[in-house]
Amino acid sequence: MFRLLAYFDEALTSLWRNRMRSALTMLGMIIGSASIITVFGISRATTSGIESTFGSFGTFPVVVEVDPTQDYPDAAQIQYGDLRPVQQAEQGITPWVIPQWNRSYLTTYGNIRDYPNVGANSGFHDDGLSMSQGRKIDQADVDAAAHVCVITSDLATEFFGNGNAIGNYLRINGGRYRVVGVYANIKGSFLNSALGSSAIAIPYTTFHRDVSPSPPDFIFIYAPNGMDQQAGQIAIATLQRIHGPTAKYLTASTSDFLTSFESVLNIVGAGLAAIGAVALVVAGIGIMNIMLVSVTERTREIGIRKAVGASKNDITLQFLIESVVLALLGGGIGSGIGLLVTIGGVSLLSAQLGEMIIPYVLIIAIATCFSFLVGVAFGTYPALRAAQLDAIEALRI
Amino acid sequence: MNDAPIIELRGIVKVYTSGPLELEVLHGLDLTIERGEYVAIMGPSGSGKSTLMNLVGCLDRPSRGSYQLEGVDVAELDDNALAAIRLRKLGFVFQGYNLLGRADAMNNVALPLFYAGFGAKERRERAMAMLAEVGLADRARHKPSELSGGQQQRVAIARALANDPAVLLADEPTGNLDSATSEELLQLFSKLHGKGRTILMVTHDEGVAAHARRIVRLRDGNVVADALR
Repeated sequence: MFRLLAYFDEALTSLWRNRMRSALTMLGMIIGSASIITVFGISRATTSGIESTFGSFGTFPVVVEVDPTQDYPDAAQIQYGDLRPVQQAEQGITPWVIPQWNRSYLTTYGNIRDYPNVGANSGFHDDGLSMSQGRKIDQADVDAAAHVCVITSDLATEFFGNGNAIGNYLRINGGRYRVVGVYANIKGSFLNSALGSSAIAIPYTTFHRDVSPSPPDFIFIYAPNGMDQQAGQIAIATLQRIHGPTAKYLTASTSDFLTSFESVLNIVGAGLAAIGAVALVVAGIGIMNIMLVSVTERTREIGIRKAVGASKNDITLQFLIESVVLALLGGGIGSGIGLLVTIGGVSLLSAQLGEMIIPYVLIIAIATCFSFLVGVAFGTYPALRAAQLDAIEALRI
Repeated sequence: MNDAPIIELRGIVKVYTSGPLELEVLHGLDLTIERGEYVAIMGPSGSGKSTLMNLVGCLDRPSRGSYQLEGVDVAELDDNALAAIRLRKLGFVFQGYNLLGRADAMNNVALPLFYAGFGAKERRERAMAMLAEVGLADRARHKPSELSGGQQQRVAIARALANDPAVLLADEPTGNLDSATSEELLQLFSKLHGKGRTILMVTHDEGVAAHARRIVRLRDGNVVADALR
């Protein structure tokens, strides 16, 4: 063990003596490992950020809509009356099937006027949203088609300032609606992406009866994890039974989105990792080259060591440790840079995404392993060449 | 084992091959060296004395013949075993000193101790003791470039003796030194011999050889004279 430490010390001294050369040799390792660590760190952090964002906002719906590219989209138009058959068909999977409209309406409170998006809502509570005031829309509101609404905090500030919003009445498209709740923070939620930060949610029954009798633009189905695809297929089959087998519908779900996002991320990551791997191989060849030069320069030293009693293993170990130290130093510096870039990138991205986790331990472990492997893989040949040198020949130089 | 000669060479033949050419340098050489002897090997260039030194020093193997070192046959050993023999039983002193230029005197002396597996503290202590024995205790922290030729050669001797070898092998040890310094060095050899060291020295200088107790003369790969003084 002390011998390894002594070789380690020796290797550092020798690298320091040729510091310009060592630094240039390490450049390849630095670039290679910095790029690999950056790609790996950012993609892992982004994935964790997206997963935590989606995870924190509960279940996301499968969205069913008419395929606008078909010959007769009007014939396939989803009707409000289609809701009940679809709800019945989905009974085995989920009770949460609601219509949705993509509209904005004149909304006033006193002299304050705006055109926020107005969404339909149900008694479905597992949306991961928390309330800063009041409550969510519940099943009783839906059953009674009550004139109640829940608004986002942006809208609450717009209409009511910092005061209490609950119990006030908003005039939406001519009707009076009592505010029963204000969402706290909707950043990253499905509600935000569907309706924007200034939005109003009212029971879907109320929406149909009193806001707009027009057919819904979408059907939202909140299915349990892993059931999105099945729920979508059931909805399409039901709609085709009503509108005829030629009617075409599209479904999109967040898990689809997540899957495609992750596969894109994986492809990009694999491409960049391949480039990084090439950089590491080039770096390794650089290390091998400089080690061969070093062996040639130190032929006499090797001869002396052998004459004094060093075995082939001793010589091999000495040069192998030197190349490993070179690779570890380069890899360490590169990983440090990669880590800094990752931290910078994550702090930029975290404005858009939720909490992102940088896998520090994994990054350090990977960097160390790769650097070590490069050092061993490309240091072995020069080290063996040093060990094979004939002592008599070596001393004659 | 203590009764056995330190070195016993029997019928040693060394053939160098270079492509289709074969050059026989030693032709069945016999040589026995007992414990405590101080032997000079003399001969003109090409007489085979360097080849003999390399064989005795286990840096090379004979083509034929047997070589017993303290009763152990070393002619058939593999490279790692020969390295261990060089480490424990042999100490080399070269004409060109062959010190590690970037290490100071103490670390040069400590080098064989390092390979022998001694810890840092013991290496330091033993290296200092060896340097004191050759009269260079006050130069321990000097690098070879800061030492005179005679001092460098004394560091080399201290290094050769660090692992307390059975034989001290010296190849033209005074070849690079002026006559006054050579004389000092040869007095050091005599002192070491007086303490019981076995010394085998190669030289072409009669004046240097005159310090030894026995002179073996080589010519064309054969022993032509072997005389005690």
